[in-house]
Amino acid sequence: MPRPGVTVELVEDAPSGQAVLDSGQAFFAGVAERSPDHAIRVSSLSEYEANFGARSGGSLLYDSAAAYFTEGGAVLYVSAVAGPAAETATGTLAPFTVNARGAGEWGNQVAVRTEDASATGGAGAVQFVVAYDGTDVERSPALTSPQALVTWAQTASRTVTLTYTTGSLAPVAAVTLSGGADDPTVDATALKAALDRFPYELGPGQVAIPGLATQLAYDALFEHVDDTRRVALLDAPDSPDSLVVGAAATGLQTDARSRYAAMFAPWAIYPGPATGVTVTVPYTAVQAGLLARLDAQTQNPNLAAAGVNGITRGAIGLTQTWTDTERETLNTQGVTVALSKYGTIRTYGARSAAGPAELNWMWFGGAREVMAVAHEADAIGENFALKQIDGQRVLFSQLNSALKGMLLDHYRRGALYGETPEEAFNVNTSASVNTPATIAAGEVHAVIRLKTSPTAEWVHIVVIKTALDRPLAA
Amino acid sequence: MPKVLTGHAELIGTTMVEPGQPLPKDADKDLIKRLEAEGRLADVKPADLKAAEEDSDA
Repeated sequence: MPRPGVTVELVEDAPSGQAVLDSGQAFFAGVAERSPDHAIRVSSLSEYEANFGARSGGSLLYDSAAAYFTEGGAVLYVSAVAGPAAETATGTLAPFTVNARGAGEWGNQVAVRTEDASATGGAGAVQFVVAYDGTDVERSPALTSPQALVTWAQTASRTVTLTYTTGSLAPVAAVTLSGGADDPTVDATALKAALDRFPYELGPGQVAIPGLATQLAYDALFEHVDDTRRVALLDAPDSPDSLVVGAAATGLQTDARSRYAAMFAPWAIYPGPATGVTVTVPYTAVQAGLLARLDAQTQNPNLAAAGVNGITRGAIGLTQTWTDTERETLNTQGVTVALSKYGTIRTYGARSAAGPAELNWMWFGGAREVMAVAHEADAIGENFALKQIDGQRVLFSQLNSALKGMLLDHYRRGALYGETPEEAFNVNTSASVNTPATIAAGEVHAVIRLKTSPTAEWVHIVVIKTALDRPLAA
Repeated sequence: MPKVLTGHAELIGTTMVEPGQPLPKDADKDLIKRLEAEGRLADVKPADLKAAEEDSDA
């Protein structure tokens, strides 16, 4: 195909085949202008906007993503919450069916056309042009085959996908997509569907539904982190009454899954989209960014992103101010409270939502450390799951050393507690856990015991790998 | 007089309401009381509300 010059196409990174073990990554679900039917990894606000649309269609999620990146977050998976009546705009531009990328009314403003490009691309070449709200936003290279255009849309277009029907390429006048509809319903089904798009395989991280301070959201998050071995960040209601905020936290403490969650209050104030305008941001988004920043610096998930390690870069205020007594009460109730100190807004506390009665789990760092170890142990176990189990137990001792090596790294970074490594962790792959019955079933077992704080008891993590890649049980 | 939400978006019932939008008709009374106590509701003239809705439809 004659193609003078060079055509540069920008393509998003292909997902890596390696286990993702960045404990600082975050997972946000929420209402957005555009609702793609899958989660998308974004690493900047402009990438968020290209995939999930403008602020006006979902300001909470947009402002949360902005705060996450401002505070130092690098990897954010986003899943849009949409009700069952949300529809994707569609249209026909021969020889293609064109669909908007993601459901919602926004798609009705997308117009597509093909232009003659035989001058640059040779006989029969066309360029596919996408316009949004009357302005051209995307243009394909000059291409001669329908399949090449389908591939271009698949890899390079943020706005549309193409399905080839029948016929050949020819210039076609603009067609506006239609049938796109919003459905702002946020119920338990919609929340679960959105969170289910973050499968276990995406690795550890903080999961939040920023700004949704309802039991519905808390329940959905608890269920998700219980399945995926992640941790949940919960927003307290943005109320001036500390009793309302405290009640939201104490109401969760009968649920054992609250040990893998932390609740934050009040909300933060950030500079807004225009000069002189401010926006209020759910603190979960701020904290997710702070944790990502600290994890990247220290590689220690057990370190609290609080105090000097929890100073925000972008926040200019808080929505509520409480007295020291109110704040201390909230802290003991399991709410991590942000405050303004020395002219900066910072997180002040590191409690989990499990509350003061759960001595083993009252600090959120412990839950994050267990999350990181569980995912790393699973990734290490992967290397051993498909190997032939030998009679001399060489495989088990190799697994034992690999897990101990990983835990020793955690110990050296200060994430595990003990005078010596032996006091901080222990790995058992002996005949007591790898019995003749488990070996016959093709399973590889390891039991990890670790201490995440000086006062905590041993936490047990059981890793079971089979050739079927069953998720680990902890 | 109709009331619109101010501050930040809020889940009211099962509907996510953006700032500047009117409250759904079936909004929970306790929630309205809480939003009022927090100063999160602003009165608008019916004509302004209609104009805002037409803008958003356009």
